[in-house]
Formats: sequence, C-alpha cells, structure tokens
Amino acid sequence: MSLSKKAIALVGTLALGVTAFVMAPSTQAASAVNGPAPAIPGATKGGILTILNQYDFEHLDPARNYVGSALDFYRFFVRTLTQYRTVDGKTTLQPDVAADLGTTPDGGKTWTFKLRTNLKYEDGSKVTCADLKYGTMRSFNDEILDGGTTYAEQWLLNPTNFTGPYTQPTGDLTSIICSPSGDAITYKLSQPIPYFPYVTTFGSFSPVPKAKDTKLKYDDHPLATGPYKIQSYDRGKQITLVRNQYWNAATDPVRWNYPDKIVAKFGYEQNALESLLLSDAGAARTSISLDTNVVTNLPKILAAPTKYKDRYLSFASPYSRHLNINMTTITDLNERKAIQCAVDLKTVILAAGGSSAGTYSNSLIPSSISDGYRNFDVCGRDVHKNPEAQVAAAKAFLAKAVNPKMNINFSYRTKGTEPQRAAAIQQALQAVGFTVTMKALSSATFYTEIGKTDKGVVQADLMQTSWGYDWAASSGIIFALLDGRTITPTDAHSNYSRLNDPALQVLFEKADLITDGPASDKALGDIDQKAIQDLAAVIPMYFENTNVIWGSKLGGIHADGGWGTISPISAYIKK
Amino acid sequence: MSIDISVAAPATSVEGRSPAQLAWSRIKSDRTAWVSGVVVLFFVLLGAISPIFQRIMHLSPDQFSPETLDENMGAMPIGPFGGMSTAHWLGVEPRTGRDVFLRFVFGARTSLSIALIATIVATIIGVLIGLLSGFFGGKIDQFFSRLMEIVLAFPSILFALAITPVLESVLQDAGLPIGNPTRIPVMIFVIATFGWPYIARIVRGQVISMREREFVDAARALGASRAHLVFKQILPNLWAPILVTVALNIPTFITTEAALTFLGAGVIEPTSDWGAMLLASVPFYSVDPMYTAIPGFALFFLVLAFNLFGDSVRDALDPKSSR
Amino acid sequence: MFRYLVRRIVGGVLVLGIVSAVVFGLFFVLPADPARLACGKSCTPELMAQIRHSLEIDQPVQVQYARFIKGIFKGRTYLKGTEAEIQCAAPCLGYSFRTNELVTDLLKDRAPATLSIAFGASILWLLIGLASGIISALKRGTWIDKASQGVALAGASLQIYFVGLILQFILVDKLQWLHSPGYVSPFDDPKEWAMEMALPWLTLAFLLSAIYARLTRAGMLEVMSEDYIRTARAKGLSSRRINFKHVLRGAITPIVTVFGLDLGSLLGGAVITEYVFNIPGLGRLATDAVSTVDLPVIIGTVLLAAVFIVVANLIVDFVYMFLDPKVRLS
Repeated sequence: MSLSKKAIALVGTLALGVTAFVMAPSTQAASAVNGPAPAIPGATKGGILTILNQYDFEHLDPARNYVGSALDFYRFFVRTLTQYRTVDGKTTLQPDVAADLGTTPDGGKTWTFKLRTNLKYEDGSKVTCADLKYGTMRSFNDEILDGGTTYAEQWLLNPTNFTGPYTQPTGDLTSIICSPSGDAITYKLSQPIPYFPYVTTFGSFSPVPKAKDTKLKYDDHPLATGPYKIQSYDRGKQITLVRNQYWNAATDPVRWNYPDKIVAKFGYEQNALESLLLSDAGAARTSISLDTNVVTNLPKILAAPTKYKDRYLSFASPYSRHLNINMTTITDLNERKAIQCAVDLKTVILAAGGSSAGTYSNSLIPSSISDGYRNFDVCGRDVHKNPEAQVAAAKAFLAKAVNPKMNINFSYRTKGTEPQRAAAIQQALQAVGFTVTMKALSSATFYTEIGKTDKGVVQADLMQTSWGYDWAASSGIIFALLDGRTITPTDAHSNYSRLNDPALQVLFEKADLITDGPASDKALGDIDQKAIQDLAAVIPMYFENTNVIWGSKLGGIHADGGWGTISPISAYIKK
Repeated sequence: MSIDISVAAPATSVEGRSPAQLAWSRIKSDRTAWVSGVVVLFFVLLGAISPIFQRIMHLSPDQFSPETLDENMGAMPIGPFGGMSTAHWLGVEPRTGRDVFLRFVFGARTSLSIALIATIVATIIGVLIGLLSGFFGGKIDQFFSRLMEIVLAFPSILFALAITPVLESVLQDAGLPIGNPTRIPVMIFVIATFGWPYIARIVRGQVISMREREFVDAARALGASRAHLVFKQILPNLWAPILVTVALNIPTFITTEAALTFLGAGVIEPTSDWGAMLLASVPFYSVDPMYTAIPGFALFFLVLAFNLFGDSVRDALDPKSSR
Repeated sequence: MFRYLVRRIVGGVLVLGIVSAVVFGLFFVLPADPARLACGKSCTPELMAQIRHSLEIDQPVQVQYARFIKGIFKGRTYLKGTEAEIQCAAPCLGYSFRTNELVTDLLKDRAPATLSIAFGASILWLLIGLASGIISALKRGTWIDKASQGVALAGASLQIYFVGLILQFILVDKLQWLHSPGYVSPFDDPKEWAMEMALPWLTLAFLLSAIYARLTRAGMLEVMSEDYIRTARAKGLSSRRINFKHVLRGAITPIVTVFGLDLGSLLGGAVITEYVFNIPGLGRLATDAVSTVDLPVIIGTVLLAAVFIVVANLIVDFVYMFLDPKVRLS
C-alpha cells in the first residue's frame, strides 16, 4: 500500500466515499447510466459562480491531481471512467466515460467497462477508448508527471515493465485492452480488487488524446470533456471556466451546468476569506471557498444559527488526527501505554478550535465505516465520554515500565493549529513526568523527515500526524498506517509508528486474501483495535469536522460524499 | 555608500571637563527621559521577576486551563475581555486557556533578553570593526567598508527567514539540542549580523575625526603602541556616541526580534514571546481583540519609551544635535 | 565625476556577485533535500537519482553556481525526465522545484502587486511626511507642531503587523470603508485595485511618514538658522518664497537619501506587509518559497531584492551628488 505522503501534506482534504460500500459495485451494473443529472429544485441557469481560494489547485492534470478539493473541482471539465454523484445527501458511484459500472468474471482480477461512444472534447474531436488507455499510460511517467495516485501502476498487470510513453514511446501497457469496436475497455489486475470501480474515479482513468498531450503544460489546460472548459488560467491567481459547447447533458449523469461562467481566484488569506464570506457583501454573495475551513469566526456563526442557516454547513471530514509512538525508540509497552493515558484529548480538541472542529476518536477507522469501526476503550475509558488525561493510570504504567525513555522527542508541523495542539500534548506528558523536546518542522519537509528510517538518523519518539483515506473502507486506512511491510531501510512510508508486530503481520496476510468488503473491513478493524489497545502504537485523537460558509445568493452547495469536500458541482446563482 | 536610516544624526563627542556629570544633570532635569526611563525599567523588571509571578499565581505560563474555555463556541475564553478574571488578570489565550498575563511577562523576558544580547553582540562587533577601520584606514578600511556594503545589500528580513533553517541544522550537527537552544542563538546571530554595520559606521566616523587630534598625536609622539592608542586613548573617548547608538538601536532590535518570530523564524512553542503572542493572536483579532491588543500595545509602549529615552540620552550628551 | 560613476556601478555589480555567491553557497548546505521532497510517492533510489540529476543537485556546488551565472547572461535549457524540456531564456534564474515555472516568470508575475504597494505607499507617506514636517517647522512650538511630532513618534514606534490589524479591524471589518486587502490589476479594475491596496498604503504611510516628518522638520529648522536664509530675509524676499525655495531645498538631501533606501528595500518585497495582508507580491513569494524549501525561488527573490537595494543606493548617491556640490568635488 502506498499512498502519497505528499498528498496528505497538501492543503486540502483528500478523501473518497464517505459512504461505505455496502454492496459490491458489480451488482450495481444495471443502474441508470444516462444523463442528465437530476435537476436541483429551484435552480436556474445563468450568472457567474465565484470561487475564492487561499491556494491555487496544486494540479489539474488528471494524472497528477490528488487533492480532495481539486478532484472535486476539476469534474467541471474532466470526465473519468466512473465518478461520484451526491444528491440529497446520498452518494452513489456512477458511470461517467463508462456506460456501466464494470463487470468482473473472476472476482475482481479482470474488469470490463462498457464505454459511451458519443463523447467529445472541447475542440469537437471524439473521445476514444485509445485516449482512455493513453490517459492511464501517461500516468506511469511519474518522474515527470509527479503527484497523483499510483493505483494504476500498483495494480495493473505490467509484464513488459512499461515505464510510460515519455520514456518508451513505442511501448505498450498490455493489461488495458480496447474492444475492436472501441465501445468497451478491459483492465487486467495483478490481484483481485473488489473496489476497482471506485479507484477508476481518479484522474489516471480519464481520456487524454495522445496528439494533444502537452506533458508538463497539460496541467494548465486539460482538454475538457465536461460541461465547462478552461478559458484562461493564470497560475496562482485565477482560472476562468466557460461553457463547453460540445458537452451533452444527456450523456452525463454526474454533472450540472447552471452558471454561465465559473471564476476561481487564489491567494486569499484564511481570515480575510472568513470575514469576507461572513459579511456577505457585494461579490461575496455569489462566492464560496473550497479550501477554507472556518475556524476563527466560527463562534460568530454558532452564536447566530438562524442567520447562517442556509449558507453554513458542518460535516465530518475523513481526516483522522492522531499521534504515532515510535515502536523502535519507545520499546517498552508500559511506557507507550503511559503516553497513551497521559495525552489529554480535551485540551487537544480545544486547541484545534473546540467541539465544532472535530469529534473525539478511539480508532483510526471512522464510525461511518460501520463494518470496521468499533467503540473500544483506550486506557480503560470511552474517550467520547471521558476525553481527559488519565494521569493516575499513566503514572501507574510508567512505574511498571522498564528503563523508560523519559526525554521524548516530539515532531509536529508548523501548520494551522498544530503547534497549539502539540503544546497541549507536551503539557499533558510533562504532567506525568516526561520531558518533551519539541521539534517543529515545516509542512514541506514534515512527512519526509519523520518517515526516515536510515541508520544514524535521530528518529522522533512521538509524531503528530493525520490521514485522509482514499476510499471509505478500512483497507484505505489500516494497510497504509499499520502494516509492517511498508517499512523500508530508508523510509517507514506512512507507517510512522514503525509497527511491525509478528502477530499482527499474520493477521495482515490473512486480510490480504479477503475480497468481500464487509469481511475485509472487519478483519482490519481487529488489527486497528489490537494496535491501539494492546500495543499502544497509535493514539487516535479526533476526526476533523469541516465548517463551510458561502454567499447567500448561491444555491445547490453540498458536502460531497465522494471526495469528502464542499462541492460547487451543482451550484446555481439565485435570482 | 549609504546613509544610516535608523539614527537621525550622528552625535559628535562632548567637549568639556566632565561630560558624564554634565550629561547626567541634563538627563535628571529631562521629564521625558524620566518617564520613558521608568517605562523601560518597568518592562525590564517585569521580565526579570516573571518567575515570581509564577510562584504567586501557582501557575506556569505554559499551563493549559481547559475550564476557562467554551468547548462549544470555538474554544474561546468564557467571559468578557478575553476571559479576564481575578484568577487570570489579563484573560486567557483562546483555545489553550493559558494565562495571558504570565505569557506576557515571560514574553517580555524572552523578547528583551534576545534583543539585549543581540545588541551587545552587534555593539562589540560594530565597535571593533569601526575602530580598526577608522584608525588604520587604507586597505583595512576599504575591506571593512566593502563588507558593510555587502551586508547592507542583503534584504535582511527575507534572508534571515531563509537562512534560519540552514544555521539551525549547522548548530544541531554540532551537537546542540533541537528547539530553542539552537533557535535562539540563530536569532541572535541573525539580528546581530544585520545590525553591526550601523554601529561600525558611526564609530568609524568618530575615530577618523579623533585620530588626528592633539592628545592622540601626543601619545603617538611618546611612542605609544597602536593597541594603546586604539584602546586606551581613542576608545574611552567614544563612549558617548556608542551609548547613543546603542540606545537608539535597541528598539530596532526588539522589533526585528518580534518580526522574525511573527514570520515564523522565532522562538518555538510553548516558550512565550511578544512576537509569538502577536502572531498567535492574528486569527482572533476580530473575535477577541484584547488578546491582540495586549502584546501589541506593550510592544508599542516599550519601543516608544526606548526611542524617547534614546533621544534624551543623545540630547543630554550632545545638546547641539537635536531640536 | 564620470570615473566616480563607473566605479560605483562596478562596485555595485561586484556586491551583487558576492551576494549571489553567498546565498547560493549557504543554501547548498540546507538540510532538506529537494529531491527527496519532489520524490514523494513510491520513491525508489533510482527515481531519486533521476530527480537529483534533473534538478542538477548531483553536481558540485561551484559547477552549479557557474551554470547559474551563465544562465543569467545566456539562458539555458533544463531537462526534466528524459523528454520534457524547460526552456529558460536569459536572464535565467532557474525554475521552481514546486511548480516547474520559471523563476523569472514567477517574479514577473508577482512584481505588479509589490510595485503597487511600494509606489502607492511611498507617494502617500512622502506627501504626509513632508506636509506635516513643513507645518511643524513653520509653526514650531505650537500645538500643531507638538501633535504632529507626537503622531510621528507614535508611528515610528508602531509595528506594521499590529497597526495593520487595528486598521483592518476598523476600516474593513467594522466601517467597511475599504475592501479586504488583495491585489487585482489596475488595468482590469482600477477602483477595486485602489480599494484593496488602500489598507497597506495607509498602514505603511502611517508608519513611515513619521521618519520623513522628523527629517523634514529637523532639516528645515537647521537651514532656517543658517546665515544665507537670514540674508534672504533681510533682502526682503517673501517668507513663502524663502521657505519653499531655499529652506525646503536645503533640507531635502537627507530626505532623498532615506526615501531612496526605503523604496529600494520595499521594492524587493514588502515581506511583513505582504505577509500580514496576504498580498501575492514578491515578499509573499519569498516567504512561501522559504516554507516549501523551493531553492531557486528563494535565491531568485533574495537576489532581486538585493538588486533593488544596490540600485537604490546608486541612485541615491547620484542624486546626492547632484543636489550637493560638495560631494561632487570630493
């Protein structure tokens, strides 16, 4: 399992499917496949939608995009094989470039999707199966097209060691096969992936015509297949989308096209944006920010709930905030348990901004993944009811510890409220007798630094990290965070606790073989509980909430269950 | 060449038999000097005795007080004016509940210590180089003048931000512990590095005007060594301009320290510092203005007092130079 | 005089050369390895080596520096991966490790915001500073003088990050007279440009005009006490004429000096101003680059700022020479 460290170090949240997959996608193949998307009640066409962001989208090239808000936003012009649609709070997977949700004859190793044959690019040329295949192939050229997911490289069979069309212009990825008539595409995988149709919502499964691949420059202007196309893009400042005349609503079940124009401006400051949207003055009335989680001005909103009723939304994000204890430097179990008991979750959540900022968690799996989650005690208490530090228990564990390391090296990022949260943790640990050395790292280097396992590197004992899952299943969390196989001689990858417990590894190897969604969730839930409760490798703290506000003249804004972000995809301007 | 902008006019040395006495009597009768001097002393004293407050209040500046915050209202302080109460005289910090008064006095300690040490370092370097440059002239003078020109050509704040992680890693490689033990020396080094040329230039000017004076000639004729001339004859006559320069540079150093911390290259959590307090208060300035106002106004009054005091010292030492 | 000019210019170029070498050399020992950062996902040693090669950080520092200097004068071409090329015309300062954009493009892109701040604010502070200084000097000792001196002193002791917040609270949040600071091109929307720039202009003007008021007042008072002014007065010249023709001119030299240096350092990036008001200018570009360890951008911004400072110094020297014949002769 390798999820991009870079992605989690990025600005936005990254998440897939807040809805757990209840049924295997293959059984949904018969569901409605055609557009248009169901009309939003009261919505009318026209007007300009303004998006005010703090930062520009890191990447819009479908092969490089890996940030929730950008993955949500670029749906305005990029179509992928499959895609999410959230209507009335319900998120479903829909065929997008595909005409069905895929079928597999062999339990998930081979996937065939029917394709829509009447799609066009913004220049009027036809979207072909070869383009879809090429879109995946170019994502193999990681060293040039950095960023993005690696699922295609990881799971597609690659007997010829194809490295990408830039390095091997005449090479071929033989595991993607277009039907002779071009109306179906088949993917051959190296292992059964029952949730593969969810993975094809990512941009490396979108069509790119080879003749128009501008490589690095494609990031500035991906060829549109959606209802809008890029009119102008001034990196770091502004992107303007206008209608794409070659898009046909009847072929698209997941997109709306109410505004005439969409303008996204970048470079705003968090507090300025909060105040601006709160003021609802002038242009702010038709504006929303996709990367601003209201923090500071939240008390103002909470104090006047009716005033903001129609333009404020608080929803659970898939982001887990937790602490990793380094198993290779804090080797004594009692010491780890002492640390686990000593951490005061209440001061941590206060430092994050109070109860509206997040919900206490005992597990790395959120309660929304109902097959994987269970509410087990951590340090002998239910953290939801009793989040305070368990000082007496911590001291008792510490007394039992053999040669405990009393000076703890603690690494955290200098980003957002993280320094304050780190200070809260330092306080709590000092209260039971630890000395805590604080190491603040910049966002740019943090995950690289704390992952280092090279000989001679002074590793942190305690790390404040976070994780946003790529799909809503235990497999999107536990393999990445707790599996000892991720650790290499130089890099722990995302297993920052360096957890490599023989008994757990046996369970992991068993979990590898489970193809049934709920059963896999459950098996990994066991591992989660053991790692936290028995081994004290991780201290879950809370799952983050997203609080968003937008202008009063905007309608159709919703929390997108697919990407876990606030979405403007069905937005309209109120008359 | 460029002209110093932080010091209004270079002072010339005082003539007369007992300049110290003269100056002291002038300062004594200067009301502004008294008031500003008292304000400066007040802040210095606050910082110096901050541990006593910790004792009295049975509270550490880093102590979280979750009970003072409203968990359901964005973790803001409960009560008016940022949660002012008999237990927390200046209220508490949003989201942490740390005592603002304690953080304020401990912040004074950090900010002033760093600024003062940086001042001392910059003064020593500046005086030495100014002396050498002015006394020897020629190649040595040219070398140091070029060096000053180069240092002043650096965009100081920007360069300081960029260089901090580099210097920190150098110190850490040398075995210093991570965190403030490396960060604070780096800050002092950075502030002093960009501060000494202002002092050196003034000292140099003074030395040049002095080295041809009779008493130096006399000592030279008597066969005094160069070291004797520099340190025994010239330096003692320079204390007045040096004092003025230092007095006028301290506020600049204090604000530079605060600016560095504000921009994120300063002291590290949870150590308190005025710049850090201001930075932490930025998100809350509209919901909890008190929290911004306290370090902001304190910094203002301290710098104002230092500026006024510096002016008074200069006036006292050289009445001609002002008004 | 011509020789003096040439000598100063050559000196300035030398200083820039040394600045660039120092910056380049120091950052070479930076702890964070840019290749490791760029090699985020599924990083293999081979990929890492490839990235190190394409970023050219596998070369010795002096080779890199020589190429860098050559790029400034002749331009250069970078290879990214095996196929993608990045053309970088002279003056080439390299390309951003983060966004693959040319540093010169980034600088060009961000310069307008910084220029807007610098010129708008400097005009404002110069006007306010000179006016209050002149009034103070002419009405010496009156309450106007004292009040204006008091404000000047306060301004000189306040911090931009504090005043900026107060003014934003009052003028933007409460009264809503000004817009939240930001930058739009004056050619697209001049009114919005002014409304968004107004807060940084006012803040900077409030803080910096103090120095100018002090300088103007002190300079005028000094000149007023000089013999030639007394002579002019005795000759019966009108006091207005004396004040503006002789006195102000006599007092202007130090103001020009300070103004040139202030403007020079502001043009290189109003770091704190842009940080506080979140304006996408050169200073913001630099602070962002520092936090993302984007070396070429850091070097580019520091170097450009140094250029502004050195050029401002040169101009000040020349103006000085022009205003004050004594300097010319020496």
